[in-house]
Amino acid sequence: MNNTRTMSELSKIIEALGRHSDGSAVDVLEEIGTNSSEDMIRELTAKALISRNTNDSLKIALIYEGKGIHDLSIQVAESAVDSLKSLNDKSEVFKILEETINSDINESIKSRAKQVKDLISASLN
Amino acid sequence: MSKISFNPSELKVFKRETVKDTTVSNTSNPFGISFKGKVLDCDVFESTQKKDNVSFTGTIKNKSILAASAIAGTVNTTKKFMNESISKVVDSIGNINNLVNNISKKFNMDIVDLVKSIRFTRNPYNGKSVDELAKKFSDLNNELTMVTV
Repeated sequence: MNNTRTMSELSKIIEALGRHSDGSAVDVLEEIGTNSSEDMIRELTAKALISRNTNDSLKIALIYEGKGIHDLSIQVAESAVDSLKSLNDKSEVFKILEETINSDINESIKSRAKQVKDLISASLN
Repeated sequence: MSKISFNPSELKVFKRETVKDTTVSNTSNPFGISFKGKVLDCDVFESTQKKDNVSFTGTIKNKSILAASAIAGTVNTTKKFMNESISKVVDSIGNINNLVNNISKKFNMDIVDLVKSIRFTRNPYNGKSVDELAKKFSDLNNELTMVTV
């Protein structure tokens, strides 16, 4: 199986996990997807977690260090922010970001959460 | 007194030779200006020999005019056909747009979400258990990592 076909299969699996009704799909995405060495897989996983739009899936993309909006790859982080912007219902996102900003968490994560919150607010106007 | 008689052969000496005046037509112009309905396309400075070619060029010119008019006619019909085709395509796009809008209103979804949902229904991993998906995900991820390393 060549590289392109493998990526196509992986994107379908990530999409299926992102839309799966079973809550344990989020754990699979976190364990395998967000820890992958491939930028493309981490990007697709972040998108799937955000499009799920649940509290546990959004927490992984918004709070966890090195994942989602805190990814070391700029492309992955920007793609995650774009996915957050394209969500129809952003109430859960704002709630988690607000909690993160007011919590005693790592300062870099707090500042990033503040930046993302400002970006999403600016896109609403 | 004898009567003077002339031998006709002797008189030939005094006979004036009749020279045929070959009139060369020099009434044409190099710019193809029409005169009394006829195109004057012969050059004034052309030789007699070249005159034959002028008629040939004239026929070419006439034929080229015919060809040009034929092309112009074809272009007009093609333009009309193209305009009709484009209007048909625009109408059908409008119909498709209306159809998609109606469907999205019916399902109370965005067009983008609707397209994603339609695409998702064709996903072969749709409806499989999390364990199966996790195994396949892990295998393919390892495979991809090994290829890149």
